[in-house]
Amino acid sequence: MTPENPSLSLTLPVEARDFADAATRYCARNLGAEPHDRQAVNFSRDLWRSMAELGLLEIAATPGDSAMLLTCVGLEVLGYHGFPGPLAQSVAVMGLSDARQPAWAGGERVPTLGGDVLTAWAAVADDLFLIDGDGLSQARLVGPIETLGATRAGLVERAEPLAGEVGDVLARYHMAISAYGVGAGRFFIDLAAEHARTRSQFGRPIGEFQAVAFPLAESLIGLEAAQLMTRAAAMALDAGRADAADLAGAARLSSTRAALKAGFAAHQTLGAYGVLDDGPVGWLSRRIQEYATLAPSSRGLRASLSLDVSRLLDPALWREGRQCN
Amino acid sequence: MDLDLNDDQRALQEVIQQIVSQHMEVPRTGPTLKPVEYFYADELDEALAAGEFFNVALSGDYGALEAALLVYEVGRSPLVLEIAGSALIGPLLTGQALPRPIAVARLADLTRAVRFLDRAKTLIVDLGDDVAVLSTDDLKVEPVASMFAYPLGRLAAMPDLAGARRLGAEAVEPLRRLWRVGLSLEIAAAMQSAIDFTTVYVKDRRVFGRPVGSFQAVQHRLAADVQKCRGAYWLALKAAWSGLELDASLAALYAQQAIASVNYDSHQFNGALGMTLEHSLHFWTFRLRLLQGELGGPREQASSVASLMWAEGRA
Amino acid sequence: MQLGYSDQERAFQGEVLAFLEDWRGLDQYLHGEDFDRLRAFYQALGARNWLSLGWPIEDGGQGLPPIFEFLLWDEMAYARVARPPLSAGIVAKTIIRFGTRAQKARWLEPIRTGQLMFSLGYSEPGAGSDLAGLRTRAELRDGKYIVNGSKIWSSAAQEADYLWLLCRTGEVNSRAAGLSLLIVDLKSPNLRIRPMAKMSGNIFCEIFFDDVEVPEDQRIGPENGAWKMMNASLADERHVQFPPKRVLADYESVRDWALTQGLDRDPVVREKLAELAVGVLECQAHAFRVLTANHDPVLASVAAAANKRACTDAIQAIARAAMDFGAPMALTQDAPTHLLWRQTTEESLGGGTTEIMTSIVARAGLGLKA
Repeated sequence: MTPENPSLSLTLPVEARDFADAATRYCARNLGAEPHDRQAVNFSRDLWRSMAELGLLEIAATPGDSAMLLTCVGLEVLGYHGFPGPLAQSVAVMGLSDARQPAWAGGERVPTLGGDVLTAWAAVADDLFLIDGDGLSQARLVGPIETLGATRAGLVERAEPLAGEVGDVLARYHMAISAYGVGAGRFFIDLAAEHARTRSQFGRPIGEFQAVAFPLAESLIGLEAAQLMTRAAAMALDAGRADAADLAGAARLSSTRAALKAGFAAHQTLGAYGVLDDGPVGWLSRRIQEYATLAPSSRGLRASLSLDVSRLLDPALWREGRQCN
Repeated sequence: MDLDLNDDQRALQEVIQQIVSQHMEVPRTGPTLKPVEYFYADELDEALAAGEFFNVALSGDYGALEAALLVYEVGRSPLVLEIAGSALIGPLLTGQALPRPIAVARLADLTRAVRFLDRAKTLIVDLGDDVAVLSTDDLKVEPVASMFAYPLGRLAAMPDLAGARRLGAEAVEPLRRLWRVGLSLEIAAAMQSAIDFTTVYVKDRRVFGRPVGSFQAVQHRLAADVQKCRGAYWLALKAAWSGLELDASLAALYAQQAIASVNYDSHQFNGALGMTLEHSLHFWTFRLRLLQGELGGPREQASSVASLMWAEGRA
Repeated sequence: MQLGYSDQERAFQGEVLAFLEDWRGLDQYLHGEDFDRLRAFYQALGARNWLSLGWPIEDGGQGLPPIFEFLLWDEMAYARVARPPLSAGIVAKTIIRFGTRAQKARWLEPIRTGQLMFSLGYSEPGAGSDLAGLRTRAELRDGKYIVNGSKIWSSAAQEADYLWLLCRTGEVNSRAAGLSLLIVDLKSPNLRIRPMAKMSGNIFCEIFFDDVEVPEDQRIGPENGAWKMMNASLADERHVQFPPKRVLADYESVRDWALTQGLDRDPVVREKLAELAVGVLECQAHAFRVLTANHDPVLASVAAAANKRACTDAIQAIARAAMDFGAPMALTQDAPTHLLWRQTTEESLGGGTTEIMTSIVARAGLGLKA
């Protein structure tokens, strides 16, 4: 007996691997190869348009076999490099049928999305959306406000309500924030592990001390799970599964927890260097913390997540799971 | 501000420590596959009774703080003894030496297992708006088996609360306060004993050519645990001394929250040895598990703290 | 990427589910005491050739990929039937890799059919996580090994037929380079077993050897060559070390119990349950990584260590949460919760401590020698 049809595989489809490579090259070219280059890069229209040329938003706007999985993988890379701008928010609103969609996909207009009066990137966006207890609506900028994560945020107010399904937009949002966090978390760990391998104290590399190494290892364990859950949520969205939103919500909870832990471990590992205002960690860890806090927040998710979500990765439930290799 | 015990208190503490130190050994039962739930400290009970220690809160200048010292020291032993009800709650609530052991329960607990109820001579019940004091002579109590290192009993029938002795609405707050102080002290004592037991082991036990305790993953967590033990102890003593409801709730909250990591770490660092029932560790850790849930657990202590600090009309 | 079972795997899962109906709850919290029934269960598995799913066909097995064993034991864990037996796992797979033709002929058939139960003799009072320091000695004299020393924490040795013994055959200080593996009859003269009660309520044993004789042909693999073999067998068993549905079963017990008690009306409890549910999913994700990492030994060891650590953390968090928000109802003997706490406490020790697992991830995953 040998299996005739495919069993479990975590290998990404070729087009997703190619896309990740392209995104990595894009980031190196436009954001700089070193963390201290990247942290100095602020949001700009030109940067946003160049990112759109990469095709991420176009892919997110085009339903296809692996559109969300590709988007997810691309966001992991952009998260790793700390790309500034309303990435997850854009990916979320690409799910709406809206005449402005081509302009969003091409980077000509910048949309963003929030769940409360305080919305990230609202001060630089053209089109504002709000998801709250009353559903989906357009929103108006009241004024810019500075936040911890330096996300060019704004105070917004509700405008015309929009018909349409909130669930899908929210599921995309959770998946996308989660993917960005997985990437950022991995950046924190790589940065800190590199430092821990090379920085010596008391005659040995600090990474040999368990108090230094263990939090990094624990963060890695958390991120490994979160990454897989996020990609699974993306696949569930691609397949139009009814439980995609639950899985995306769970992935976001997992990713947020792991990324925050990784950020904290990186701050701690890098010592004083790690808490400098213009140090290599804080610019991105602040953004991750802000995303965790802003509505639709991970705390709200814990109050609403289905308690049956625990079965959602059971391979028995992925009956029609397509082979993408 | 003076955090030191005075000479009298220190002398009292030393005498108690001296007595308790002679009752720290679990009887050698030899290899046993039938777990012994707990060993009751009958001899310690006699020694303390002979010295009139249970009434320390009622004698001379002594009061809650001295009773608290007693509750803590007795709680250090792997042998179990009803002490908080006898030395702290009973005397200070009623001004009398009630027949002991003394069990304490809330009205809702009366259908459930209650600590010490199967041995108790007196049962004090928090009725919500009043406090009832009952002699267990008139009650039908059945023992409850558990692994939680305490004698437990359950009422077979609801007692005649209407006909019971009542202490009045003004006794409710002191009962809850004293109960929380006693609980905090018992937790602090059991945690400290579990950590002491563990510390001895990790200094002695070697792995990969060095003592287990020399690994940071062990050392740092034990340090954090000691901090919790000491924190719980001092918060409890402060609550005994101040007589403030808020202090008692804070002490109980802190102590109950500290249990999770102390329990985990002491089992983890004792390795498989800590899993056996032939060593003393589980007498403290099982006990802690039960204490963590008493009085509604940390959530209820937190609610109490919140309402005492921030409820309308409160300072 | 593919997250579903293949048709063949799904069909097998159906067979497993149908089969286990008769055995559901045999070992309710995976720590049973009914060893006669447990033997009958293993024999029933043997009769279906399910103890040898992953063995090569030429050794009497089914030649199936690891996912079939995973599937079987994942469902068994969920239904709280039993854990995989040592005999058909580590013992048989080591014999298959390193045993002689005669040894295969002698041992594999009774193991395949579920006739033999083995206990593990690795740990000693002075060597647990650091096995290379063990001291139990075996000396070869006239075609027999003479064994002296003691072992500890051997689960179910009081019921098993044989001990899978790791012992020192090299110089005193030979560390990992002086160890051998012997199969020891637990009814041998001069071998004494002392059972000990665990806080989980079940039994493990201390075993004393006082000139115990073991025939030379019961040494598996080369003398002093055990270390490499142990690592290989550890790798063979990674996919069944901690099935995620065990975590799922515990979570569902606690969730259902909390819902029955109406505890979820408290927002703190509600949020905690959601967090625990996410933890279950994380364990499933780690299981996927273990199942798909076989091609790369480093990746596989990191995935397995991460899986053990994550699953242990998750079941302990589930058990602790039950007590945190359930008290005092959580503590009575009729609530499922108190048993979960007692039984999950040891999971962060057995099969590699949480500290060792974290260290593996730090070393192999991040290049940090902690």
